[in-house]
Amino acid sequence: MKKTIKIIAITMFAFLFLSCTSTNMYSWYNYQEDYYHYLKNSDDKSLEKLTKTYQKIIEKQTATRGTVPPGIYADYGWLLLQSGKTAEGKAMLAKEVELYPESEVFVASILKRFK
Amino acid sequence: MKKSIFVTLLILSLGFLFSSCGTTRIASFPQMYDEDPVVMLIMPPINNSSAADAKDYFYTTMNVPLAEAGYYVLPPAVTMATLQKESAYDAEKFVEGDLKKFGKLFGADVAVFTVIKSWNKSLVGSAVIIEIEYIFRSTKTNETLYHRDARITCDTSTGVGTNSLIGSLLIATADAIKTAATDYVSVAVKCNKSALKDVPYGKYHPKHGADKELSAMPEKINISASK
Repeated sequence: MKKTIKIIAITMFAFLFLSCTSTNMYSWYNYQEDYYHYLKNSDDKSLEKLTKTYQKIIEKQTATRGTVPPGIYADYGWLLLQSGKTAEGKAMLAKEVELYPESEVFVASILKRFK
Repeated sequence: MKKSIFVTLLILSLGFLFSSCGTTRIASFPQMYDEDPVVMLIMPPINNSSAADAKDYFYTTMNVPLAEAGYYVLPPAVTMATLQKESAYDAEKFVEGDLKKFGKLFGADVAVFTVIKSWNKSLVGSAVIIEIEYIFRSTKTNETLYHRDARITCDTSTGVGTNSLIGSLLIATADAIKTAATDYVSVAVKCNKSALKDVPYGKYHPKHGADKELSAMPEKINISASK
């Protein structure tokens, strides 16, 4: 009886512990704060910081999916297009569609604006 | 002694399980499973609070929890620029309107609306109390697929304990200063993470389609989220 209670208690506690542990699918680094500061200020400093974070997200994914999160290639590509880096920007947008085919409708409409 | 520890653990575990298993995700959000959306469009938040910056705090922190839930979330920066260009920055105009154009223009399956009803800092201490509503509407049927009405107390305290009265007052003052200077982005992050933790998993989540029997929170919640 004692042993059964012990086993049930340990199993349930382990289950709870495991179910409460969340694992991220993507590595975001300081993305949310950097994006907020860029949206708020739109100055060179916040743009530079956000650009570096995009590059880090693209280059270093250590979370469970091991792939770049949705929207990152597209937003980075759009910023590149706006700064006149057309070839680089278009390449980023193409990567977004390659990784996430459901982005095609919107990416095509972005590219139309930069023809 | 040992037995009492194990019995306590068992009671605590059972209590936690029962308290967290009010209803299932399939029972609470059946249309999310019927439509099985993939592409989410974050609409600019509707800010009815007195905190002018709350709109930006919430817009910039919405894509991460939804991407982590397995959805394709449209790129927020270029989406915002497009919405402004299309005169759709004020989401108030669309929260109850026809959304089919967003499906056509963005390829979106769902438009995600947030209504910030209030954002209040406590006068003493370190809490921010936020009332917020999340509404996920289908761009195909205009139906609401997911709805959450949340009151969230977000603790931003220093986390240092004290037993003395003077010590408590000093910490309360430090917390008030800290709250005034708090980076509210992290408050919004905590709110979204806590309020949306039962959103059914999307296409890119390993448990997509296998989460129907997981627990869901009530539609209206009053919760605490610590920083």
